[in-house]
Amino acid sequence: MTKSIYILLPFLLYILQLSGQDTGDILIKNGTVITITDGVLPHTDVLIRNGKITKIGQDLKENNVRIIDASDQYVMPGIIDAHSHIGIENVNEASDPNTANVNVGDAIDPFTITIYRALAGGVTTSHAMHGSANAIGGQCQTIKHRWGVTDPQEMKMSGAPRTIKFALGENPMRVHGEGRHIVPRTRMGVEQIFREAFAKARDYTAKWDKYNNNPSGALEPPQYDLKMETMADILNGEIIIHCHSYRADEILMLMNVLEDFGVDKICFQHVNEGFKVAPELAAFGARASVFADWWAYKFEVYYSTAYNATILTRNGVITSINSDSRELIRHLYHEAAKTQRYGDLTDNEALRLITLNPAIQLGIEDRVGSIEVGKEGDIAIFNKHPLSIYAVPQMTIVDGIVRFDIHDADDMRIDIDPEEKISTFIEESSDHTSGDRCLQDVYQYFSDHK
Amino acid sequence: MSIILLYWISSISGQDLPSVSDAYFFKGAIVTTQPNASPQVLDILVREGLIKAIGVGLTPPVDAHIIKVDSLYIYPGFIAAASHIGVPKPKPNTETPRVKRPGYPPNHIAGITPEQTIEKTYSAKEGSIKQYRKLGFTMAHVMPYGKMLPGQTSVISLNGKDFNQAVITENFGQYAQLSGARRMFPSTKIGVIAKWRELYRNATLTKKHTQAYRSNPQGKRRPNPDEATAALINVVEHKQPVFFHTEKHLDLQRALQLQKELGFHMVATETMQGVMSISKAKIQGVPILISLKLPKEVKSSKDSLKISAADKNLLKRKQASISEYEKEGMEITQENQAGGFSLLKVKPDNIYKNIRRMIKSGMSDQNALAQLTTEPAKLLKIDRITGTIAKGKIANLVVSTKPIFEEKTKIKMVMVDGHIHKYETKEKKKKSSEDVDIAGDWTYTVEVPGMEVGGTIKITKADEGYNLAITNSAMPGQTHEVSNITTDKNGSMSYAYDINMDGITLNLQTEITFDKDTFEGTVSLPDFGTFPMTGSKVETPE
Amino acid sequence: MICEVVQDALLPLQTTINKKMKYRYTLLIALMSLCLTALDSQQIQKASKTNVLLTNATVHTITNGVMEGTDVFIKDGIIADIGKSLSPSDHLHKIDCSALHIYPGFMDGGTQLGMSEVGAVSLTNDYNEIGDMIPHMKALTAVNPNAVAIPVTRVNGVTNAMVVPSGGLFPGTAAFINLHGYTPQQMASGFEGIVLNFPSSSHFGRWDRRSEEDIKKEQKKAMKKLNDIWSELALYHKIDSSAQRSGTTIKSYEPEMKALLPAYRGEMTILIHTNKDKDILSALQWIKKTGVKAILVGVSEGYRIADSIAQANVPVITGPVQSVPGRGAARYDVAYRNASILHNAGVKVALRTNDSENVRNLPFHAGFAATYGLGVEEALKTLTINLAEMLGIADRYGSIEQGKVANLFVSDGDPFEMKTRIKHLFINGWNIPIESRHTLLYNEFLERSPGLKK
Repeated sequence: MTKSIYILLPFLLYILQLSGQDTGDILIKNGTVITITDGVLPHTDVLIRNGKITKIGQDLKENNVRIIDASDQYVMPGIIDAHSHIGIENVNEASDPNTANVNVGDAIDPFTITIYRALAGGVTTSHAMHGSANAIGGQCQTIKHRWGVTDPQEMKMSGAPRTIKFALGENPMRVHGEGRHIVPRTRMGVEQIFREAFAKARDYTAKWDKYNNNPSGALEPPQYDLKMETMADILNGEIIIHCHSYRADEILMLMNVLEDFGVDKICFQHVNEGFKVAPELAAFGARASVFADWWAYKFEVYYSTAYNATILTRNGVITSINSDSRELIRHLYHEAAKTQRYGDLTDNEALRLITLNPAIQLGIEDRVGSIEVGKEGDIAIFNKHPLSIYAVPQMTIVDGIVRFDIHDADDMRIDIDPEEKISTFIEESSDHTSGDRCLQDVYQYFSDHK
Repeated sequence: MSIILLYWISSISGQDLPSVSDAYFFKGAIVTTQPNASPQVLDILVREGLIKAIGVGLTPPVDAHIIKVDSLYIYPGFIAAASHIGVPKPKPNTETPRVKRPGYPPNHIAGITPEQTIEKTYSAKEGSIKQYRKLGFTMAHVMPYGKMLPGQTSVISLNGKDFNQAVITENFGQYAQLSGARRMFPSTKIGVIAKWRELYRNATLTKKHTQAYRSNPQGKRRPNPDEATAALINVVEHKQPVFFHTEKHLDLQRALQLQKELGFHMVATETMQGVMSISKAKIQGVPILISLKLPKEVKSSKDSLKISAADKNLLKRKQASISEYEKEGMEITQENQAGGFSLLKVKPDNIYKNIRRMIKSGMSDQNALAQLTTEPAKLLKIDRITGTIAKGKIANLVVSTKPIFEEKTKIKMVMVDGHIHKYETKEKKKKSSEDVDIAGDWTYTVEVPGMEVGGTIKITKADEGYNLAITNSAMPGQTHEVSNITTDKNGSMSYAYDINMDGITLNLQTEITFDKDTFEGTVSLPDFGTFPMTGSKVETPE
Repeated sequence: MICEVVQDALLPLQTTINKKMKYRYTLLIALMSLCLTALDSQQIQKASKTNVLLTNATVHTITNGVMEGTDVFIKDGIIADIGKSLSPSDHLHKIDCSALHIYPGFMDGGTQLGMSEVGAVSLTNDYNEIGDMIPHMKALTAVNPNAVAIPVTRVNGVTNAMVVPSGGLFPGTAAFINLHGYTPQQMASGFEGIVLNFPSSSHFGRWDRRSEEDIKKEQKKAMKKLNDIWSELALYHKIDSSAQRSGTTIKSYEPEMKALLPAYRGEMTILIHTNKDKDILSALQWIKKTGVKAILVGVSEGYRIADSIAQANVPVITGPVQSVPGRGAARYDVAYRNASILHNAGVKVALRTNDSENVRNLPFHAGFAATYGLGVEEALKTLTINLAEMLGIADRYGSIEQGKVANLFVSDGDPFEMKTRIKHLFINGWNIPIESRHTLLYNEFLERSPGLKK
């Protein structure tokens, strides 16, 4: 009987069309609350009203709220993934070394089951990124995992700062230089893509300023160029750069370029050799979002260390651990815990890597990333301490609405392709290149270069 | 399944016979003058291509052809709200053109040709005109083929010797798709959307500058926009609505978002999954053209026998999903958000079957009929001349043996612009392929992911069976002779032959089934896959 | 800096190193040699082999429970004795293991460790040879004993791994190795197995565009090929047996058949790789029909047909545990639970990572399996005795028992927990330094000198 209700549940979601603007009222009782910013509070209640955390304390009494008993359980802020490609249909517009004009937020897919599976690992917010085919990739989108909504706009975390993908090294070199004989084929070429784009954006802005300051209408309006518009917005500090990078030298290169153009909002992604230039990163104020332990899948990550997060943190770089993978995003709490094997981060430092730090990197730290009054009601509940291998996520809450519950039905798909077989088994290849969506949508460019 | 009955409908149009009068008198048919009128027995007089009179017990003028239609049903001629009728499908491109800078390809290679018109590609001889007319369509809103911005649409009558005779409204709207170009910008949906923003913005700027220049050209540079930008000024000025091809929910949402942002007039076209966007569409004033394509039905009795209990639930979910698609027609028409049926993707043979599936899922007959008549007429702003049977309107009529949406209904006559086309409707046993005259010239296309390959097949009768001569656009100048051909009584043919590409021999195994002057089937390439193949007979010029 | 010198050395094509650069490197090396620890940290220390007495540990024997306050004596590469307050006369070295734990070394049932140095650089990948029927390709030949990933792996307590060729139907012969040694022979454990990629009806990856019909066709074709090979093998077996009886050998050169013959005769294990439920079932039928000695590998959909596998009494090496479900409609945690569902049905289960550079995550995969139903005790077995028993080497590997090979590690806690540190590691009795490229870079760069200034 109950089982049949579970089977129907996705349909109900589908029919109700849970809206992204919907918020919930929840009282989480008697949990061990890991606040991130204010220590660990035993036997504490957290009240969420209208999707916002309104009270944290003991023995809270409230009416008209859903009560969740979290006795013997751990309540932490919803996990944030600063690097993923989930929830978007297109990852790479690989046609040019600079595609600052595109925005993956235009192709959000709220139906992909990966979002639900991420929720089942306590992840409430993702940075859905353009791929790394181009030196200047497309703009990215910070999304909230509001599983059940059908309107792609409602997946967006509205008000989150704009971000853009940059990429250094092998990927842009391979796609454009090797694949099509277009600059960049070397790291020298990669540098010049940035310098050219920023310099041209300055000229572009000047042209428009001249036009706008001449109200007589005598001037012909300049050509509108969306790439240049975006580059100009970066120069104006309106967009945070998230740059795919591996080698120490290229990381230093980009910081030099940015310094020359007066840009300072930068988070390096992957940044496997960040540990080599940690003092420089810290001095620049650059952030770093790293893998817990990925390495050796390509030459530019051969000289890596899983102690990267620890070295960066100890050198004062605001660091996060990301997934960049449909698989890893399901256990970022476990990935963060690896820093306690590879290094000596405290529990709170380790958990910051997947909560407050990625929030800072995405510019949303005043809204999410810790359990504080006034922040959004994004919560992950575990049965054991989340840094333990034995921890199992029990429930994940976004804006005060339960979006994952361990008692959910097995089949949680929302939109079912009516033409597909009833169930298809897809075997995953073990190698990273196929799991890595960073180069999705790129292979068409190689199809006749075999 | 031993005997498959099939209705063999052959056109015996009298169009080519000399006619002494253009007056026709339809006597005593059961007439539905418009969707919300109840059918009644009426006479209709047609003259000079227009409906001259309609009423009970009219006297036929002496010069009128008397058409005996008692106990037959007459409806206003149908209008395809979106289609490719009259436009030949372009030859498949076998190779993607190489461009020097894939980030900045020429517009026409990247699929951005909003300046393109139907006039340039329309062909009065196109087989689809006859094919759809036979199904009751008398007018069609026609979209060009292409990618992101294939060009402007036109409303045509399914009649006339050339475009000028056929055209009703030229360059009515812009057709748009979220289809990227291959290996160049815009290659993805995000690329297409970005390009839209840029084109629209530049068209707006051009418009502004052109106005300034017109009011005082002195000291200003002459506006000199590129073709695409210039063509989009009509969209910016709301003179042309954009027919956005949006089959699935997410694409519809994306187009709606773009519309909201830029403010152009939009019509959601070929929409299979529009229900979840109705409220947005309403707020933004976007009509929805319901796709007549539906997902394949699943026979649960057959499939559910061998599967596990868990998979049975999955099957149920799939069936539920299919029925959601079938309900689209009901929900969108009930919300008064529909602007007609879109025929861009449906196979002509499935049109009535799918309308019946929608009716079975709750759409009223009346609403269904409205999507074929009054709704597209309103949308295309031709409701003063067509869409209903009324005095003064164009003589576009459909005559059927039974109420139009019943299962065994046959279309007996279709009148377009006062020209009558009669169809013999008799039941025949399906002919075996030996009986069907398949000899002749055929063209075919094979859909390989990401591209289409095509060519010709010349079928000649041999002592036993047939011989084939096959060409392939991928290998220009080569012809493959095939003689080892298997045919069966259901009109199916299979054959295999080897081709040699760069020293690799590939064995192509083909299985096709003929249906009059078309065929459908598959080509298999071991280790590569099986690809759908379709073909049609080359019409010999009349 | 030094590691960049190594980088240059690895690029044989780059024959001319800029002289100025060379000078700079030399200078830097000279400068850095002033700081001895920094220089030390750039080389993994040698392992040493002496008779060692580990005292007062909590010993997780796997086969005989947990023994508190117990000593383990390692002599000549063998666990010579286990007991309280041992005092062998011939121990040269003593390690106080108070408050520490001893576990048998963890064993991975399927990897490409040492057969791939850098994933995306194809010429460093040696696990996938050309050909569909090449069982004579030997993994042991292509394992690089000095692969950088090997020390990275073992410092997490992983002492053994199966190295597996991949590719076509019979892609080669896998080998079970110890993760220490300077030649493949020093690393070999004695077990080798024929790899069979059982004809599959799966889609491979999300971009596999083949239609269902094509997949079925291809599977049928592969199945026919497998059966053809097997009937030809029957003949080969007959000829070979009769040759043996007459004291001769087959002269013709048929390395493929020769490689498969022991498997045909049930003298050698076949590692049958298969994942989809239906394919697993046909693999079980094939095993029954041919009577081969088999282990199923992969088996990601074992959870759907666990009872059938148990009935057939075929052991399973499954994993990776941390992987996404192969079906969109499947519950999010089926991969985590697979091992436990199989175990509960009565199947003997071992684990694999199917990885190369991150085989070090093996304990965490087991930890996830433990968490999602298997329990710690059984999860430990999947990494130790279960695999040893499947491979027929349980007399030497898989537990802390007197007389077994001294492959073990000492930790300060539960080895599945990320916080836990591995303190000591022994492989074949060699005391392996807890060092790898990753620890060396940590030591060098945690507090970089020079820091920001020159």
